[in-house]
Amino acid sequence: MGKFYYNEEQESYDAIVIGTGISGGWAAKELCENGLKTLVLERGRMVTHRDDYTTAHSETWDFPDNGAISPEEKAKQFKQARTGYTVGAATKQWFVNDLEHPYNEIKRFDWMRGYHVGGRSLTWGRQSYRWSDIDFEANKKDNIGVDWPVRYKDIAPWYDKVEKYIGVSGEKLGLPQLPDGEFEPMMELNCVEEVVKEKVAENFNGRVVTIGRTAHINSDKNFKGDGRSRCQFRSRCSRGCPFGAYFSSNSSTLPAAEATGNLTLRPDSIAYEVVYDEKTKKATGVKVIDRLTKEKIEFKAKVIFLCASTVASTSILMQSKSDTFPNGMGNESDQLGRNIMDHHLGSGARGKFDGFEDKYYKGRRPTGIYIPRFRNIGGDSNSTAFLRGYGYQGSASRGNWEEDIAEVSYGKELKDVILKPGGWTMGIMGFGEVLPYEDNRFTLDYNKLDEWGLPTVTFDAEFKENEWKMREDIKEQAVAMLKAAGCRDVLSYDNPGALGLGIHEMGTARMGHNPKTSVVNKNNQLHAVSNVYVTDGSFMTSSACVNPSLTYMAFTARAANHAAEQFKKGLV
Amino acid sequence: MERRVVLKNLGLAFGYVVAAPTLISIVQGCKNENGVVWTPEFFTSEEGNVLRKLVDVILPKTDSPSASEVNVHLFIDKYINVASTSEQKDLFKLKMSKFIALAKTNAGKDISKELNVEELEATLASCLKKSSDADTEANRIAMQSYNKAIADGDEADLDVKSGAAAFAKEVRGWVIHGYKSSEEIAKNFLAFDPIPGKFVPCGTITELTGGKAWA
Repeated sequence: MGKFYYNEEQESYDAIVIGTGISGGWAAKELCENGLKTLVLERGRMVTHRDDYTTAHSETWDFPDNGAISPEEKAKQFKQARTGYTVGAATKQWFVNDLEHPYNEIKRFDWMRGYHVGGRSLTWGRQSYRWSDIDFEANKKDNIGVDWPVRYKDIAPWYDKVEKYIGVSGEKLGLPQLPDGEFEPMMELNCVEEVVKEKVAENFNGRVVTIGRTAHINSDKNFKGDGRSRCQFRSRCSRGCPFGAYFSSNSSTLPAAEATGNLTLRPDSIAYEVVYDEKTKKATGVKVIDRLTKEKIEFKAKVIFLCASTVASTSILMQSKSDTFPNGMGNESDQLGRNIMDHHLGSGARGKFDGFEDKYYKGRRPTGIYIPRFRNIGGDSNSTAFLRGYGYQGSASRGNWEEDIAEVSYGKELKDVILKPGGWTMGIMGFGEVLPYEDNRFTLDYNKLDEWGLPTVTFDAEFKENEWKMREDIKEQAVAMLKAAGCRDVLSYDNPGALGLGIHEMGTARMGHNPKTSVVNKNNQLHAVSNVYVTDGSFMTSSACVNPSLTYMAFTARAANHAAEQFKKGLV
Repeated sequence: MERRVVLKNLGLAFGYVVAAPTLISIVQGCKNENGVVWTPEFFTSEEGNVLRKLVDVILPKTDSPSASEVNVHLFIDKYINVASTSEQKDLFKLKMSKFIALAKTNAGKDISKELNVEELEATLASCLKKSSDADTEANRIAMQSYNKAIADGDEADLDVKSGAAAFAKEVRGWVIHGYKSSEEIAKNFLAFDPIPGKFVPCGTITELTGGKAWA
């Protein structure tokens, strides 16, 4: 039986938040700080900051069998393993068991999930970039999908609030396509990256190489939460950070919510339906199945926040059927499940860099360089081959034996080589915008139920022509920039994987002006049910090319404060 | 050899916790010509014997320990045994058998136990030599037809040359990986700093690590 944390069970609540990840944590904090008695539901197990980061200090030799994982264990995460990095001995506890949590693929879709308190805020890449009006205006300008009912000026103050609270280290650049924020001191570029930065600026009009804007504390400033302190440059972030140096729900927003006394947390609670009252035309609560006992329970509240992650929140709406909403709550437009997006990645280039043989670095910097979008932002940057644009992430580092091995096969010479740093390599990889397509969608299969009797998700989505054309440019420009930077043996690569692999799945309950063509309004409320808010990636109307979490946080904080105002005015 | 010394060499000196069956065989087998008997989990004792010699040909003792001194052979045996599917195990054993067969032919010997370090080294050297394009292509085709036979449920085999070459490259990779990720080497022969505390983007190697690579 799931337990209640921080407060006893109550008859009803002011608000219910479904999900404890990036969005759910922010909804919980803002609602609780506004005085709302809030129940936060999480489908997975409890995770306590620090205490439950069991691998945080482990070295290779500390893991059983040096981290070897048996084929039987691997089979439990055969889809989660598609990333190639998520399910090692140090991090596999943060990703779901694919056998317990199956989904169906008409076309391959890489659905990477973490079912536990904190969700993917524990394992995220921590790259934090603002959208600009180039992004918010894009659909309207290109006549694609629907227009965003929000512009940069609406969301900018919320970006400020979020950045100040979570801590984002980065460099101010004054670029129109990548607005500056409230930054912690930037992490620095290494010697080779500095050269690349100079050469790219010299040879490519307007292109900039900067450090990744990353949600890490990089100063002695005090940040609220559960004992957060500055980054120690271990780069073991995705095991859970015992220093609380990067932002996670567990270290930051959930402790803030708890501190108000208004938070009740119930893990092991699988939400599957938002309950609708035909008379008041409002939602009255949420139905859950206890993960452990499979008991069905209904919790009541005046405001509901769906923050269960893109596909999960939309699935809950699809299952919330009533006389008014026979096809799912908020689905009058038939847009639920459609326009699923991600970022396409895996194309780029790498090369070797001669020089700086006597130079090295200390510390494992938990971020790389960033090259902000330079395509289709006006002037001579416009491309006729594709719409929208992409950015690059990358880094330079000294390799190990692989680079030097050709000359020395074995023996003493090999030994000398493997104990010394190898030559420098520099690589960059593109992250491109994916357009919203109505036929890129997921549906629910009521014939294939999971262990809890709930319908499973079926994906039918793919990259299309615009994405494929953009990837060609990503490779060409990557090669050109690395060559101009002085790299040798520059090679491009292209491993597209499938939608989902960016772990930025978004869309499926899009925001728009018109209830006939969209699911939520500019405040993230369902058009038809004003006390239900959707603030995770589901509401995204387009994807831009930057990592999305900062934008989810900003919209969630804005929506939660909107809801709190409505609540205080007695409008919900 | 005195039992205490054996135990020290095999385990305690390098912080490696020796599994119980291994301990028993040490106790029982002190007279072995190679110092100690080790009871592999995945390999046969014959294969284990060859592997232990080979890991030290690949990374011999210098100012730093040899591969076997930090138990790289145990690492390989254990890792493959735990992490591989039976198909992967079969293939690895097949490749190894081809390598051993080639070494026996080269040395003119019938029994793998009698292969000495010099003979194993000669075969390893020939297998690791940069192969001609024709050889690379032949190896690729050999692997392809092996995989096809497995997929079709047919009897699968590799020719001696392809199998031995594949084994040599693979085992070298294992040895380097096992060596660098051992506690002894990571802590004492690489630059080890689990909590760097700060980032220095560009300093001299001498000043930052005394010439070592970061662990």
